[in-house]
Amino acid sequence: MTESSTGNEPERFPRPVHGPNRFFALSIWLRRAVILVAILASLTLLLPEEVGKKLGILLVGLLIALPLGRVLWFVQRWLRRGDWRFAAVGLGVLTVVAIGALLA
Amino acid sequence: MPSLLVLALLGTFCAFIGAIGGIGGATLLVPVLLICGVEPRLAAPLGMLAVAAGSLAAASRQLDDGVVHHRLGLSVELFASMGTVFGALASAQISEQWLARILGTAALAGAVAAIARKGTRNLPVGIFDDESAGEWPGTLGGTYTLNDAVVPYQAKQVGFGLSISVLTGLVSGLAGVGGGFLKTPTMSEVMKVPVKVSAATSTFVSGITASTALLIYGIQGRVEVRPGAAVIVGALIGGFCGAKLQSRLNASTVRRVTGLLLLVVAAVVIGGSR
Repeated sequence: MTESSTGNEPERFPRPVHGPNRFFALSIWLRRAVILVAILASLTLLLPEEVGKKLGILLVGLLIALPLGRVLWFVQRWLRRGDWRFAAVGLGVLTVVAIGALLA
Repeated sequence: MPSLLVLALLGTFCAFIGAIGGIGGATLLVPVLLICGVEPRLAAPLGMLAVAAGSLAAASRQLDDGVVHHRLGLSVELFASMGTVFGALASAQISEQWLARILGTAALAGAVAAIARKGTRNLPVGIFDDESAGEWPGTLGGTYTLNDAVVPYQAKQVGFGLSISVLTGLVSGLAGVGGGFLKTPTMSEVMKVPVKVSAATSTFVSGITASTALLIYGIQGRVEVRPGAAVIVGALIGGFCGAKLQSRLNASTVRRVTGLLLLVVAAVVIGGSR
């Protein structure tokens, strides 16, 4: 019997024990980011064109930065834990993105 | 360019269909925008904004479920982003007729992927007691949960899968689609990663692809922010509602319907480019 079983369930397959969400902090921040993006997009549409356009640029910048920030978060995490190979892969992705921006 | 309300409605519809069909919103949105008369040069960035919004909206739920394999995703993306960079740079040099043809072909590939996509391949073995689902550090393997059991998996044919990723990235950059409809089958059919993990990892990776392409489109001055905001609002609403409904519907039936819809879109776009 595993810790998470209720005792009444057949034990055909053991239930996986869900440990604490390893990415809880990141998950919370991403939820907040969705709300922020929704608000910014709505304001871009509702406010006068001049102000809306500035907010729109901020919105697009946020949508560009968030996935890259997520990659950076994993790179620092893997570096701290000694997972050098995949930290290098993450840094490689960021490098390719930077090269793309420079070439453009 | 259609009105902001029409763009928001199109964004909602395409994200809704894309979410329940599991093919991503931009695959449908970009061809539909072309049919509505939007220039390919402007349609591609709008598609990428929808991809970025959809990827962000799904992120926290997928993180909580432990179905995203970040190491696999970044390995795939390292190769795909090289293709994306070249594709996005080249898209400014390619004639609109050829861009439309590439988009039509991408829609056709999406249709084939949606129709041919299989359901659950891996079955639970249920012997990994006291282990939480997620990726294994330092490897391209891990576990995910299915029917209350833990299913282990390990990516195979990694070199071949990564080579195909360059091509998927190229199509993404050229056509302004996230490429999820190509990346998911690459991971699930070539690298033998479970579909559920492939789809979630592909959503994560598509966000990075969108970020790369948007950066380039932005520098090229091709991102229209107000129409983009309309598409983003639509993509968030449609993606949220589609994901809610997806769990209640028969996914394979929906995927077939979406595939047929994409076939029609591909035929119209390719036919219109002649």
